[in-house]
Parts: sequence; C-alpha cells; structure tokens
Amino acid sequence: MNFAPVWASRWLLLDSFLTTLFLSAIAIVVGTFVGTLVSVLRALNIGVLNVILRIYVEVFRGTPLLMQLFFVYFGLPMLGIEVDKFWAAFSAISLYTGAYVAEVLRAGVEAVPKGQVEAATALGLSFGQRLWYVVRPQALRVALPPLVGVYVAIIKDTSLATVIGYNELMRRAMELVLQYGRPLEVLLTVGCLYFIICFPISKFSEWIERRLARNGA
Amino acid sequence: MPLLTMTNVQKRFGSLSVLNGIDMSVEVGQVVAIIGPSGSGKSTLLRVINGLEPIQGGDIVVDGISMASGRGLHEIRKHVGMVFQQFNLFSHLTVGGNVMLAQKLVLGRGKADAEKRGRELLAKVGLEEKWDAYPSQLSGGQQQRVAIARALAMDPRIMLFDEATSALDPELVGEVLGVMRSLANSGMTMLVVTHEMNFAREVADRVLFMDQGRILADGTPDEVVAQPKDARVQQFMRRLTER
Repeated sequence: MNFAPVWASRWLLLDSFLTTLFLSAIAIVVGTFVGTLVSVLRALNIGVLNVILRIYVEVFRGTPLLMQLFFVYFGLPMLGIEVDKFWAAFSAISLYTGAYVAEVLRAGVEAVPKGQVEAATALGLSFGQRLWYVVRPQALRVALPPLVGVYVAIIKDTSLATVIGYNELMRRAMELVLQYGRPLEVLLTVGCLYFIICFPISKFSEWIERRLARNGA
Repeated sequence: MPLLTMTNVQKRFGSLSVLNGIDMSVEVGQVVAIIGPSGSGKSTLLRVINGLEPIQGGDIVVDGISMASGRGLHEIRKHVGMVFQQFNLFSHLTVGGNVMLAQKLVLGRGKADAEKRGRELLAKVGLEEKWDAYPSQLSGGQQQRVAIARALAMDPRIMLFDEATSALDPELVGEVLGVMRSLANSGMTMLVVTHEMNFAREVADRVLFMDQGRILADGTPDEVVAQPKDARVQQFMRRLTER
C-alpha cells in the first residue's frame, strides 16, 4: 500500500469532500422541504392535485437517479433550457429526494390513527392545528428511521453526479486513480470519507429514536 | 328554546341514504339515549351534530347557532363535546397534555388555567393521580374516563357519547357508566348512543329508537324500552332479551 499519492492530493480530496457534503446537505434540505410540502398537500386530498403529486412521486421513485441526471443535464438543453452542472445535479437529486421523503412521510401520516384526528376535529382544532399538534409528532416518530435511511442513501447517491462531470468526491477519486494508478488506496480513502458523513447521521437517528421511545408509546 | 334542534336533516354516503329527514329537538339538561340496530344511523346522527360528517339537507341549530351560517360549524364544535368508542386519546401526549391541548389551542386558555381546569375534571372522573401517565399505561376504562374529561374541559353545552362502552372489557364498563351517570345527574345535556339498555332505562329521560335513518320511536324509557308500541321496536327488544 502506498498512500503517498493520496496524501499529496489531500487538499483536492478535501475540496471534493466539501463539495459532496454541500450537495448532500442542500439536496436533503430542499428535498425534505419538497417532500413535506407534497405530503401536506396530499393530506388535504384535493382531487386533481393529488393525481399530479402522485405522478411526481411515482415517476421520480420509479426511474433511476442516473437517468434523471442525464435528462436534466443533457435532455433539458434540447428543449432550450440550459442548466449548468451544479443546477442539474442539485435539482435532479433534490426532486429525487423529495419523492422519497414524501412517500416516507405519507406512510407516517397514515400510521396515525384516524380516530385521533377525528377527536381533534371534534375538540375544535383547525386543519393546521391537527396536522401540527396531533399528526406531525406521531408521524415523525414512525417516519424517522426510514427518513434517515433515505438521507444516507442520498448522500451516497450524490456520487452519481459524477456522470455529468460535477466535481464531487467520486469524480475526484476517479481522476486520482487515473493519475496515480492507485485505485485501492484512493477508493479506501474515499470510502472512509463517505463513511465519515453517513455514520454519525445513523448514530444520531438511533439516539433520537431512543429519546422518542422514552416519551410514551 | 331547545338547546339542540334538527330540522329535516339529510345525510347520504354516495347513493346510500343514512339519515332520512331527522326532526328532533333536545332541551337543556335532557339525557337522550339513542338505540337501534347497527347501520340504523345512530352514530351518524351524533357525527352530523358536530360536523364530523357534513349534511346534505336540512339544518342543525345548537344553542341558537345554525350549522348553515358562516362560522356555524366552528362555533358549534366549541359547544359540543364528543366521546368515541375507541377513546382516541392522543397517544404522544400525557393525560395532562390530552386534557390541556384543545383548551390552549381552541379556547386560548393559558397553561395555568388549562391545567387547573384539567386537574379539576380528572379529579371528577377519579384519575387525578394519572396526570403524567401516557394513554398506553392506562386501562381502557381509564382511557375513556380521560377522554370524557378531555371533552368536558372545553365546557361544552352538550355531550355526545358514541358507544362509549362498547370497546371495553365487561368489568370496565361500570366505571365509565358511573362517570356518565354522575354527569347526567349534574345536569349535563347528553346524547348517548348505547347498547346498554339498563343505562337507557335508568339514566335517560328519553329514548330514541332509530331504524334505517329514521326515528321510529321517541319517548320515555318506559314507553320505548319497556312497552314499545311500534312492531319494529318490539321485535328489536325481543331479540335483545333473547340473547
């Protein structure tokens, strides 16, 4: 093993590491916002809107992220919409995340007994109050573990942005492999870097789950 | 003036007609038991009174407020308390949280006031010491008593009970009926959908018999339960006693 080339490239790797971290963070934040919005709108149960949202969720969940990235980066310019690498990666991954988050939250919302929502209605709570004070806390408890699963998967999936030439961690790794011919060392290092992001998130979610479990059923 | 008036109330689920022109009124302090076979529209009758189910015709007036008026539904809900078969306590909140939530959100009471009222009512249903317990730590009978306290905390003019004891183990039915009985004695106006004929006979001032979305009989417990005139009611009562 010779880690000298990796060490020599440490600043380049750090730069790409931060790029991956940045792309993951905004995809997760924006995707969560989109997914939450979709699940709230679906709870309102408005006919046409429901169909449109359902199509969005199914299309983005039912096709590969790789294809979505290609579509945004290479397909949209054909329709006269120019997108740079960052915006292509950001929008495709965020919408993809949004679809998964929406589905996870929907399952959480459905796990809240209907009777409790009815009781809240009978007590005079408005739609927003029922959603925030009765549905949200219980839905999140159910949705949190799968939600973190989605986040961890998304962080790893940002590596796909390499195919449109976005300079994230995986792309930098392949460049270094080509440059130094040391795939084992480079990939081990990069693997560790991904792990450094994902592992604390999983641990954090376990901690939150334990805390929630303490507060009653 | 009656506290509750229903005029020609119509309720349909799709093509299925569940309430076929209900006309009735309830005076302040009356305890009305609603009996009848399943699917006769008893529960629906309660659910339209606080707007859990929208009606397709007629009007409901509670305490002078018409359901058909602009803010009618919201105002009526504030005056009508409801207790469900499945208790429906908020499982993520403690007993205290359950009895305080709507007081704070709907009535705008401060935490201290909401807690004071909540503790008063829990004492009334005999569960003062359960303030910090979660619903999952309570028996069915205790959960239902908390649900009653939660509804009473809104200071309703009318209380609706939708088969409040049907989901309970037989030995727990008594404690819930006991609370309902003392509530009736305190002068609360109550509409009680029930299969407990003893409760109907002993506590109710008035019994409604429903079948196929209509009120077939309306009178004192004696007239409706003990000596029914209507053939359909007679048949129902005979089946009950044969069980």
